[in-house]
Amino acid sequence: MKSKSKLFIFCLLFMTLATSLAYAKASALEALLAFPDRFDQRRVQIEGEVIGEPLNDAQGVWLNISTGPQQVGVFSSDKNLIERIAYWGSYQETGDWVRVKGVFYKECPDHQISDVHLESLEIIREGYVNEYSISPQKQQLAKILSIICLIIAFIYLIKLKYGKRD
Amino acid sequence: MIISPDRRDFSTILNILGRLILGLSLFMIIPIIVALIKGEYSPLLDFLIGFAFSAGLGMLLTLVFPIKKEASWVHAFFTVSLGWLVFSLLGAIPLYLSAHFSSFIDAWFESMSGFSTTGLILIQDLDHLSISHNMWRHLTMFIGGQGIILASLSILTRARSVALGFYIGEARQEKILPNVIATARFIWKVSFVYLILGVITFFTILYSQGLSGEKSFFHAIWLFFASFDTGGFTPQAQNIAYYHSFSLEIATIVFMILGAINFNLHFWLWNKSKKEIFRNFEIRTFFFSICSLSLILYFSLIKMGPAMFRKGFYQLISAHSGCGFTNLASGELNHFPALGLLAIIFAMMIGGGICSTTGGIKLMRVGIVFKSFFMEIKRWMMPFRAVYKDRFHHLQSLVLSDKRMKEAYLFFFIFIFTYVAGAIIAMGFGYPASEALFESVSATANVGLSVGITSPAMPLVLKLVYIFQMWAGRLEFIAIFVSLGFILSLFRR
Repeated sequence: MKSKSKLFIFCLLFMTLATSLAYAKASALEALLAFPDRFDQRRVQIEGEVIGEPLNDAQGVWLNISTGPQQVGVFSSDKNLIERIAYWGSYQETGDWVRVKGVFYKECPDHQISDVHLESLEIIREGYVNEYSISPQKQQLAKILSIICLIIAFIYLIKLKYGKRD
Repeated sequence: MIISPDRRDFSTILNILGRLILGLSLFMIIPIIVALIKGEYSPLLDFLIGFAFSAGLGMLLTLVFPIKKEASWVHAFFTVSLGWLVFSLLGAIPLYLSAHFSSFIDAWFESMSGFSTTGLILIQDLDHLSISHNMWRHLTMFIGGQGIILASLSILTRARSVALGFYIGEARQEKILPNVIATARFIWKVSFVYLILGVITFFTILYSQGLSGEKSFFHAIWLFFASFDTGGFTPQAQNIAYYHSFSLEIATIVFMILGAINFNLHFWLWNKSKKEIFRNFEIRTFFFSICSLSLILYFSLIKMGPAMFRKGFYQLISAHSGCGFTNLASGELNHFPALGLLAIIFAMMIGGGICSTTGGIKLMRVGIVFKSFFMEIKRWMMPFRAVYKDRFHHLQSLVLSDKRMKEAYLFFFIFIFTYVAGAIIAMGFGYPASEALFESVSATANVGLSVGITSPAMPLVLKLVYIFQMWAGRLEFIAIFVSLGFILSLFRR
């Protein structure tokens, strides 16, 4: 009985370890793109903000993941995998922060570009709608400059109408 | 005799400049309308500030500095040089206020990159930029590609007497029609026809990919501005790679090539002979250059297999047309073999047609340099007293005269010197030689492809050097040299 439970614990540990090792730890997108040869055709795990919108493809759907300075395209043949994404990064929204697991291809045989073929997606942090406050200094500056511009325009138009033409 | 300027000259120049600034400020109304429609109130203020400042400055200059002399070519050249600097500075105001730039210099860099149709970027977090700011970024390429001064001139046509000076000052050396204003309007007409075609094409592709109607429309306009005016900006940080669409890449290739073709040839094909496309010297040089550089790229990227076309050929066309679009992932260009990078550097160096929106040495000049080389060899092989002149076909049969050769060699030398000088400066900051040369050529030839040197973290001096290179490359140096001579002659009095 004791040996069986030991075996069970051992198997559990092995499976956990094997699952985690199966994905090359390229959690930093920077590492993946800086050393593409190292991760080519290997399972990788990356994190980043979902940007833009889902882009249809004949065989599936594309999404783009960004960490700010680095971005990568992720292809999913199963559209259901990305259905949970509620926020897509744009001016209006900060996109969901996701963890993507999939296979990285330096030169994808299907798409002839560098991409990640999605296997699973997990939302780490939900995005939100961006709220922009208008700076009072900016408002003040806009008012002052508009008034000055209007005064100059008034003089300019008077000169155009009554002044000697150049 | 060199004309030494006096106060009346500067008064005249500042008056014309004021009118042109006023013309530029009118273009800022477009993003203002977009911001109003889209409810982007903070960006709206950015553009109101930019518009009020530019329009006010333009009117003030016109009021304070009256035209005291009849404007000459020297005035035109000086106005063009100064104008492009001032326009890029004014265009940077709304960009800087967007808070997507770490300094005003970065915003100025972006603005100059847009106006000069370069496409190098220093913007941060581009994916979260407002629609109105994106509209302005892309509009700068359209205005710059057409020629800012000429754009303003075709609207405010009071300075017809010096129009040719402005035209040549903006690096267009061939008139299409006898009247320069008519030429400018023809260029705008061609561009608007292609605009409609381009927007329909890009819209269809993007809409079928699942972008909303409104987003497809905006992206289609921007992609057209960027491809036809060979600018290279896109609304997403991944550039063309964002769309993951092979059909979109093919469509951009078509519009990049159309933008790289001499407007004079467009005119010829539209109104005269379609056969010109097969006989034209520039097109033949382009074909020869693309074929030979593709061959180099093929051997360098042979390991890639089928990906070679999408990854290699696209960058080659983008570099040759001076557009700067890329479908590569971030930093992927750095992993190209040295030979492949060299092929792309050569493509960038050459550029497109004279009187097009591209930068670089230009096909015509490169073609003449090569042709003159072979002509010289032929000459040596002929009897001593033989007189031999080679010919080439550009709209008509032309003699390869000494004047043409001198001009071609002059520009060839100036461009090569600037490419190398920029590279040496970057190397001084510790960048590797090949990367430094790549970036320097990209800035001077107004291409916009980058191996990673161009970033907000790059040294300030290098940012200023690239701003200068983009400015000088777009104006093809002559207007700038004349302006420098104009200023230096002040001290000779």
